[in-house]
Amino acid sequence: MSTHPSEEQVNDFLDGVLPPEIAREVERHLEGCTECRAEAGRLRDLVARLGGLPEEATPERDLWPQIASRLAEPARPRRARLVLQMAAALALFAGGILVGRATKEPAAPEALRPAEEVQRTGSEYVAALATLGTARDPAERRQGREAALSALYGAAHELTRLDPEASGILTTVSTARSFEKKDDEEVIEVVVADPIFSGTSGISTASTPRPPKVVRVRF
Amino acid sequence: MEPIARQDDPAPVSELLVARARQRDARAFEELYRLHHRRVYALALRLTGSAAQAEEVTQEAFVKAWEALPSFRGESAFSTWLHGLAVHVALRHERSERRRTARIEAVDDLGRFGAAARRAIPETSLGLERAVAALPDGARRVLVLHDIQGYRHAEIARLLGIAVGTVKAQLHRARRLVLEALR
Repeated sequence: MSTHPSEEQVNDFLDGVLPPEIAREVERHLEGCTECRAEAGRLRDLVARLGGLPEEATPERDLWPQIASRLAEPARPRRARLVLQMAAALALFAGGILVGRATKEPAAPEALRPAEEVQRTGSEYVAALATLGTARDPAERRQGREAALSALYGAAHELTRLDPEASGILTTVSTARSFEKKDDEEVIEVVVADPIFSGTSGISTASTPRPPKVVRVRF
Repeated sequence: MEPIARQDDPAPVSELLVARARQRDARAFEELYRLHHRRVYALALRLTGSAAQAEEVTQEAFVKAWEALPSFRGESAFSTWLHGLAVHVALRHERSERRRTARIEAVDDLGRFGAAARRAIPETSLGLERAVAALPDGARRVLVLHDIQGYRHAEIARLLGIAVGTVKAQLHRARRLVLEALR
């Protein structure tokens, strides 16, 4: 090696990830070059010091009591947030825009439970919601969006089904609000308006628009 | 001049404790907490640079571990599994911290690695910890994971969702910045 090794090469050499022939060249250079040897020595010492830093640290207070209390009860606030997310996704999706959070948040296992509680049967839109969360490339996201569209309309259908007065006509969900921990239940209030769906078979137009309706769903 | 050896993995914990904790024995899980929380806290402290955030991350990590324990198959040491879980929690915590518009720093944590953090690791090399805590986020994460926690380039790339080349570039940059800060 007639020229000095690059910063990358010296680092890689110290980390043992250089191909053997190049490693030998670097080693030979370092043996003959004071400047590079000094620099590599500083780097080596730093990494050794970093590796020697204490592996343990003691928190100021005992964290166990708070952990223990969270083990005992289900994570209600998180569920409310996820349900709200789903309802918000329904609302915005109906407007043609998939809310960004539905695609960017990782699909935690607990994301499936509120959806399961909304629907009575079927698992398609639960799976679609899960897929949405893990989709990486644009094509996958597009597919995921399309799957989620039918899936989320299915979820909206279930939401209105839970209200006996709803005649099963699917509506566009326009807003959603979540009431947390009301009498030990979570209640999500969904305002539905402008029917565009009938049953699960697809889009059909209603002859007269229905007035907005409030559906309360308990979890 | 020889390459640097990797840190050894910590000793595996009692399999009995883990088996009982999987059966929802909270006391066994508390015992696991007592054995492991200091290492988790140290990791959280260095990744986040703040004692307050490190406490949140530590709690979250153990709650997640409790929830995920049924899926732990014992293919790796429990400590390794727990550590990986804690890294995920810390990184996710950092991402959500960045999204918040207003951040209120705890009074005892002025600047990175403040008084509370110092109390947490009293015998440490403060100048070095401070220099690491002052690094840009991406560089700090990689340096902590590689040089302090002993993860390999490919593991870090997977954890952070970046290319191996980016991991190395961040690592080399981090080391250079720390060296400059210590001069």
